[in-house]
Amino acid sequence: MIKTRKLILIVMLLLSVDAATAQNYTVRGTIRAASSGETLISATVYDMLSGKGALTNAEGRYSLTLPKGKVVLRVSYVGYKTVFDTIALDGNIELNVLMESNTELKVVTVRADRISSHKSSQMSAIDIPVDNIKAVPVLFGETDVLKALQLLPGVQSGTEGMSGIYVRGGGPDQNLFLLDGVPLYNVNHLGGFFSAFNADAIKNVTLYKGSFPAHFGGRLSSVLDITSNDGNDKKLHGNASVGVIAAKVNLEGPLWKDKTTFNVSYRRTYFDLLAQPLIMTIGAMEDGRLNAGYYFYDLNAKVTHRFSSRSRLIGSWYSGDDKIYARMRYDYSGYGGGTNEEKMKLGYNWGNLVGSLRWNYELNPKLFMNVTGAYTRYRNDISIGYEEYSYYYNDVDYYKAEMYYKSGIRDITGRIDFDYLPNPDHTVKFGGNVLHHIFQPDVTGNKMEEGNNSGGTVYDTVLGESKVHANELSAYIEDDWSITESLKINGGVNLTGFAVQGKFYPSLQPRLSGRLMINEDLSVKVGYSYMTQYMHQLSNSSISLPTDLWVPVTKRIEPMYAHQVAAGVFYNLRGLVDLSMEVYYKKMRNMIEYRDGASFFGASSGWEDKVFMGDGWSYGVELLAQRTIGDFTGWVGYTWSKTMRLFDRPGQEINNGEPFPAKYDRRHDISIMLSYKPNKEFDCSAVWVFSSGNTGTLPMQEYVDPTTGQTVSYIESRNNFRMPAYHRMDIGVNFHKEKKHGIRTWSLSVYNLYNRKNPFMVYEKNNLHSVINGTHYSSSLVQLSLFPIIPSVSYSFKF
Amino acid sequence: MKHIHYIIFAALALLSSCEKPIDFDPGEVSPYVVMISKPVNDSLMSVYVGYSRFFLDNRQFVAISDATVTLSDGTGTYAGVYDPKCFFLSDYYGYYGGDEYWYGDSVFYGGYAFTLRPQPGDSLRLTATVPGYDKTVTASTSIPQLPDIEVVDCIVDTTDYYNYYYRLRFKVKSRSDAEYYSVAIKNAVTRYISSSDTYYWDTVNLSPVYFSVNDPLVNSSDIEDVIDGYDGSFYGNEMYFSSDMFQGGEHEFTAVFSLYYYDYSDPSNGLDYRQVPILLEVKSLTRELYRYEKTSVNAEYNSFDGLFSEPTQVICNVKGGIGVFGGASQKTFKTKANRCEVFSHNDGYYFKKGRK
Repeated sequence: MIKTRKLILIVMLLLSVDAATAQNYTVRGTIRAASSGETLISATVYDMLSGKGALTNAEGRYSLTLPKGKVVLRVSYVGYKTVFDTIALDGNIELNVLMESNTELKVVTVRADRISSHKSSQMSAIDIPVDNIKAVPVLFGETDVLKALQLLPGVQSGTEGMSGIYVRGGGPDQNLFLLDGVPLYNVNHLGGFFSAFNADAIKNVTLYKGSFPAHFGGRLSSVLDITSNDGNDKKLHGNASVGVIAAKVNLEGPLWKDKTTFNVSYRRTYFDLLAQPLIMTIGAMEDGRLNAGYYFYDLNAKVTHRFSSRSRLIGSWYSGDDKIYARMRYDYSGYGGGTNEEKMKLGYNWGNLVGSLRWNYELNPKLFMNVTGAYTRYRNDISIGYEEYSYYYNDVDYYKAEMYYKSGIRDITGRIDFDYLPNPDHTVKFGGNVLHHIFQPDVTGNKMEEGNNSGGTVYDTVLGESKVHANELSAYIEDDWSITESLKINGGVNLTGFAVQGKFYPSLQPRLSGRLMINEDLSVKVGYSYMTQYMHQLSNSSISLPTDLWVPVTKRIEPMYAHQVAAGVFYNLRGLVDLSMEVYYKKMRNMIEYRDGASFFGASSGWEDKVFMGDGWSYGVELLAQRTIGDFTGWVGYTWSKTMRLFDRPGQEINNGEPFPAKYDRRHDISIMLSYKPNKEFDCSAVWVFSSGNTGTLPMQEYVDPTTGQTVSYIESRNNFRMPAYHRMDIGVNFHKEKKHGIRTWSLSVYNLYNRKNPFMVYEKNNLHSVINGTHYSSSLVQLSLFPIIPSVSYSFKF
Repeated sequence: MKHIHYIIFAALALLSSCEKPIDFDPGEVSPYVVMISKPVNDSLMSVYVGYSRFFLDNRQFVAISDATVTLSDGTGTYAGVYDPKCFFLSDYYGYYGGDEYWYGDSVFYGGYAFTLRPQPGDSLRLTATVPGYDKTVTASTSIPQLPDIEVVDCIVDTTDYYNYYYRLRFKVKSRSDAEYYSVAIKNAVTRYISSSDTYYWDTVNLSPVYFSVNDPLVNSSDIEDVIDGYDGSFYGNEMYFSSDMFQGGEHEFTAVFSLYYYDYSDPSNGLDYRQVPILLEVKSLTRELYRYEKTSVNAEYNSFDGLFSEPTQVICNVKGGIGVFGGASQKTFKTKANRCEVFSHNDGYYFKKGRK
């Protein structure tokens, strides 16, 4: 009887809740740019009467459930005119908003966090408009997303000129790069000097350094979430540019007006084409014909079809390759009037391919669904061939040999995500992910064929490790909950599992972050995240090589995981300058490091024997002051950090089992980015960066072992030497002019303006000297620098 | 078109790397006192004491002759006496150039000699004080038990006319008190012959020795992990391994190698070369000596990749200084490999290879 009463009581309680919410209705819709029809991510929709608001999701959709009655909506997005709309809410309605660009604000630069950054519960995230990325002067004038990120606090560059990023003490393999939600593995071109992201194809870039929302997982240190452009739904637009090393073209427009749009971007370097005359001359000098070169390209394509305001289908494609090719042919006279022919060829291709199909569907005004299917492939193929033919009258003898090396990784992904907005106080996300990995560490093949008119013999050998299949599963749920006006939390959990070689590794990863508004301009945030990573990248710590290989965890090499806590203070100074300070501590377990003496060459074979497992930790303070409004914008960032490694497990000791600094442990990092845009015709920018030198290992002492006669180099500890500090200044100037059919822009930039010789690597050099009684040598420590002052120019036309 | 070439060359020149010497004050790094001793059971002990040098300094290494070096074994304390010829390396080292073999000069390092012949189970402690060096240099080690090993056989194996090699099989019994080993295969013939103006040595060189473990429970990757070919002279004919490779029991190893003879095949010398004497030297090592030898070998031989490899730290167990004090117990086995036919004759040398 008592149980029955309790049940009735609960039902009544639920009904009363339903009755209370029965007076609420939902306003939902899509926020777009009026000029292009592009959806705007993280735009703010705010009811000025109730004080409730929401942000648009990755599809530009929002949903706001409010009490029945008068609603005054304010829709805002940085760089666009704020839109106000008053409605009488007496039922669920759809309100789509087109926002006009606000040329008066001239917004440039990076916005730390999202709009209303100090009000969001998310911390350690940076949202970067593409215009800002394009404003940063860079090497060879080639816009680079990753190099723009390197200018932000908490994000460090690796070696001079490289695109790799090191976030809060993590390694380069601990960053998850998502292009339209699909993981991308090797994001570098030309050994890491350029990233694979073509800024012309990108709409939005968000970097998470910590306090990761539960819907992300798979890497320890950062998530870089990149959304590509959908395409203009009004009319055909384009952009073409020619720079020092590459040319780019971008086209976008409607395929079916207001229904289907496309966006295609292509970038290719043309150094190989310019060098053709030189290559041919070299071939002629060798009495043969030579065709050789190197280039890389990126192709981004996206087609978006809108079935209705509630349903969209998006297909996106990315392919990018680096290619080295060489073909040589000799013809020469043979014995007794015969002729001989020799052919040699070399092909070396590496790159990514990503294809995805995504369906957005609004199940009801409060529930959005995203279903994604994707395929990712990274490959690294080398082939070398040789052919020799001897012709004598009607007889022919031949010999052919071919060697190839293949390695790579392929992923097939299925993913479903839901956004549920029951009321303005809750934004719930949940979903799941199934990922099938196919790792191919390396396969080498040799084929030889020899014979003549009457027949031949073929030898064919294939060696190497077979494919490794692995399955990664994940499910998550999170809620962004406004508990009170001033207190907001984001809590969630990500449950993952990884199955490989008959072993299953589960992981439950809690995530929690919170924000407390002290007053309208000042907030305090804290966050905790636990992350697990099931794969490692075997890479050289100095430069990025195409042979860098992703390998899964195994029975012996366990998953990496990290705990990170962070806290910060965020202050908006009179609406002009955003100030922030964040402190963090990150503890990482099961990291891998090459053991003493291990060579990076051929690392894919028996790789488990070349690495040790250990731990690491990093802590630091990040300061950022930025101005986002006005003619004069920019930011000053400073990071103090310390990153250590400890490999003390029995049999896996590095540095005698004592802690040692990580290679990119740098105490100080300063970046200043300033931009000035007085009018439509002219803008300029300057960047100055300073960082403590990278660490390196030097044997400071030597001694002789008299039992062997061997001179022994004594290394007191790993990474015991710090290279000279790194600093440089880059400047850029853009001249815009409106022409009959569009806007042309001349861009001039200078990399390393004061020609600072920054260290790329340091080594010992022996110098021979002639003296009266013979020769002797002396040694000195020498640094190698890569990039002196480099001016560049580019021309672009936008229509 | 010429302009394009100019542009290309200008671009290449612009991109070319540039070097810049770094000012580095060697005073930041003071030299250490180096103490090295590798006592073997039943052998007289000696200790090298010297200074390390800054790595950009190319001065000769000089032993310290006025140090006070004492050794204690738990039962007594012994004082070392400096002997300039204590550590001696000579003609054994040299190089092979073209068809002839040239030998280097003798080198004397100097060191401190003791009258003690340590025995398995002894615990030893060394102390050195050096005038002008403010720290006392100390190190401890022990003499491990003798290795438990047995030679099975040494046979000639031939696959064809050009591929012939020897297989030496031996068994090692894993013991709880002996975890680290070194195995070296050496020739037992090293004769010095002098003609009118040339020195010749009658030697048998072992071309690279490949070791393997005849045990399906031991992964080949484990062998690669543990074993390093090293002989201190020309070819890899020594390996180091630990019992980490297998857990207890008896394990059979195979060493595969070829023989290259350089000798005056003068019947009057009275030696019967139809069977070549081969020595198998097996040591059980202390952990400190094992780690020192392995890391110093790795540092020497794995540094060729330069930028593309990690450096190797040589492990030291000397406090207040650097170096190693690590004991070993040695057993030597003599076996014979059947001699094969004579192949060629060149300037007084017979060049012979083992073949059935």
